[in-house]
Amino acid sequence: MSWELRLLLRTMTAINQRLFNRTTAITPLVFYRVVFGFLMMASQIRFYLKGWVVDCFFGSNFQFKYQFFEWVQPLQSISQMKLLVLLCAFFAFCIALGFMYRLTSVLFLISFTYLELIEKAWYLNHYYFVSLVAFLLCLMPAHRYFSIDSWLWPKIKQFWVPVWTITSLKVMMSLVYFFAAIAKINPDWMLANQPLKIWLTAQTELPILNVLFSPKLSAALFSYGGFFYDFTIPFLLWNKKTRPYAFVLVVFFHVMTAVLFQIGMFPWIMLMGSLIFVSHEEWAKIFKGNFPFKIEGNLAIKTKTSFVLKGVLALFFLLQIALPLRKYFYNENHLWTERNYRFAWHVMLMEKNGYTEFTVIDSITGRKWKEVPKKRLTEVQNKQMSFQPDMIWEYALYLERIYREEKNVKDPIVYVYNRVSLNGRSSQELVPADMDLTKIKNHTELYNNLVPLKEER
Amino acid sequence: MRSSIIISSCLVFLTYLVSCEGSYFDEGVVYLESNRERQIRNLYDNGMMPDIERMSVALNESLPIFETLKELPTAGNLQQAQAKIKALNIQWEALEVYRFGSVKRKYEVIQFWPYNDVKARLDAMDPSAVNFAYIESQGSAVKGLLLNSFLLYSSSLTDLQEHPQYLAYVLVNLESCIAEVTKLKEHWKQEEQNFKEANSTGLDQSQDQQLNIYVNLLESIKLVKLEEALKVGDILKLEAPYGDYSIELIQMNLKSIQKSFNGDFSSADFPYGFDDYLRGINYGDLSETINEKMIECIEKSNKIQSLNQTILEDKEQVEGLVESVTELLVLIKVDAANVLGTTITFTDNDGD
Repeated sequence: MSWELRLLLRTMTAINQRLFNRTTAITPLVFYRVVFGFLMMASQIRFYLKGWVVDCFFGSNFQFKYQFFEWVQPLQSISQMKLLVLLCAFFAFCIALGFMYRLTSVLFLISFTYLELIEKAWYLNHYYFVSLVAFLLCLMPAHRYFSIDSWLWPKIKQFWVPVWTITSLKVMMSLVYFFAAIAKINPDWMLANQPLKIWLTAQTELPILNVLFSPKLSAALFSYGGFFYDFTIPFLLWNKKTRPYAFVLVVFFHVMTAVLFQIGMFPWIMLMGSLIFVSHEEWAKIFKGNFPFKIEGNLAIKTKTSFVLKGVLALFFLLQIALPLRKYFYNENHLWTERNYRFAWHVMLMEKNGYTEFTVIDSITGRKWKEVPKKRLTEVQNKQMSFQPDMIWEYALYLERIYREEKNVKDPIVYVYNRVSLNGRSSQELVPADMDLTKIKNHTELYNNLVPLKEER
Repeated sequence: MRSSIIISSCLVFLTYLVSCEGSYFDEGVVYLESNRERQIRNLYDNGMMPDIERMSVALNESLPIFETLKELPTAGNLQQAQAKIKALNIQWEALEVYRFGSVKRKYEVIQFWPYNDVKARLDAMDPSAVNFAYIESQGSAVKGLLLNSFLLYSSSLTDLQEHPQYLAYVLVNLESCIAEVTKLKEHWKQEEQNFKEANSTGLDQSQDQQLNIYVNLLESIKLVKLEEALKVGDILKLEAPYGDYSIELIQMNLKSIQKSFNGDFSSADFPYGFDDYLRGINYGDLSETINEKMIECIEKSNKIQSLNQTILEDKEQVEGLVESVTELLVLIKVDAANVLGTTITFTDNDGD
């Protein structure tokens, strides 16, 4: 047996023993479950109260679909969708309370992910993160303590969980930070300090740094600060000695981003999510004599995890590593093309604006129609589409269908006039104006034919 | 050892900052905010308020002309009234650059397009409709300056002589416009402090709103005022087809955007505008490009004498204007919004 294989086997055995055969106190997982549940409940109620059910699912007759999920459609009526959002909030509430946890955690995952998959224009990194965490929670016995389930059925009460449960949530958080840091290693962020220079020039009234320094200097400090924060914070949180300082940083960083930018629940999810790193002993110290968690008995129990579950987790994390790395197979400015941009923790990396206008031509008669997207799309859809090539293509195919079905045009040709500006650069063409979008066969062909960014840094 | 690493790192970082292109220590927050304030103050003091006041005066001064026409509907008086209503409509277009969100409704009741000509004619025939209270209670589509223009230009002298209610309707409609402009003036007087203090960024802030107005106005010129008629070759889709002064309305829109962008108001001692603000944040090139494109748009629009005729006979010329307006729209909606970090139109979604 070669030494590489031996090393691999030894590592696998060590991982197996440390993660799957050993146990640890359930406390961090319980805290995480409760906080996650309440946050998600608040998030869904907020979505409902802001009127986003109508805006997102019924604002137009067309929805941008994720690749392979074109079949996901909204329910028929507004009231059904509203009910679903409220049900999703209810499932989150049940997760927080640990009520019918095994069922409600799965129902939350399904309902939340379904809502997320309906409209690509509303993609947000934190929605994706919530689905991933919800998936992991479905696999975990997070309801075995401090829950209605353990009160109703005392037999399930358990003070310990396998180490993999808490570790996998920690790894998930760490991956987000790590890939968010890696994504910041680009000339715009590192050399031009964009888009922070634009944003901090706009946001003059809030941060102390801006009062002390010029926005340019603040942008440089924020850019490098943001990069070093993302890069180091997982390590600082993992390390017992640095953890208290890391939490100060976590609170400062996420409160700052929440105040500065309109990013909704994201800072709160990451801030509260960091609680998974706090151990049982540390919680006990924080609460001193008033700690409500009375963990009794031996926690160092040997346990076993099924082979299927191990396989699922291995696949899950391999995917989480592979998805953010896909972009490195292409030698292009991915901020510009946005190929493989989603599901890769590209967080707050660009200020991008665009303008699109479509022309539909009847190839037989030569008759032309101008199509202005705002007539058929919502503001959010129009804005997001204006600088994302896959959405421009998708909308062009929609127009092709509309003109075939409604205007009886047998062979429509669709062109787009498109101008995009990225991180303070002059606007330029992204999708070639002379490319018939109906003839594009797949995403690869689309991305390979985009106009390269002219002003590289 | 540890401290020397920290000190060295700090020195390397500081060296990087100082050596980078453009100083990191030039303009500060106070500078940016005061620039925004200068821009907004100039717009309010030297642009918006004097323009509204001039409009109010012009409307009041025009009343006798319409009263005379009502009393004595002769060809000469009709011609004079037509010229006046045309001038008033053109003058009103200069105020479109001050159409901030909070006054949208106040604008619509003074000038609205496309108006409901059928209902307006029926109303004008109905004696019970010809009174101030009735007009006030009606929606924007059956009142306003453009509707008056329609009634005066589309009716023959004989029509007007046979149906004196038409002229009574025109007069009451005009009185309603005068009252609405007075309300508008009062609104802005009360809002002065709020408007001037909104010198930060965000959709409720004056500078962002100003940029959004340019976008809306340019989109309106392109999509509604030009392309609607252009694509079907129907001059009735134009804003003022009966007096054939649609192009003059567009010209006034473009000139007022230019004036507002440059802060170039006649009474301004320090004409600080968007162009200066962009220069202040190191985007002087963009400011110049926008100005050049504005000049191009105005020049192209000036070459069109009659939009009615050009739409039918020389589509390419109108298409040329549309093309330039589109390019200007892109410069403002995409380039300027990008460097300013402005949110274009209201999208209340989170982002990350």
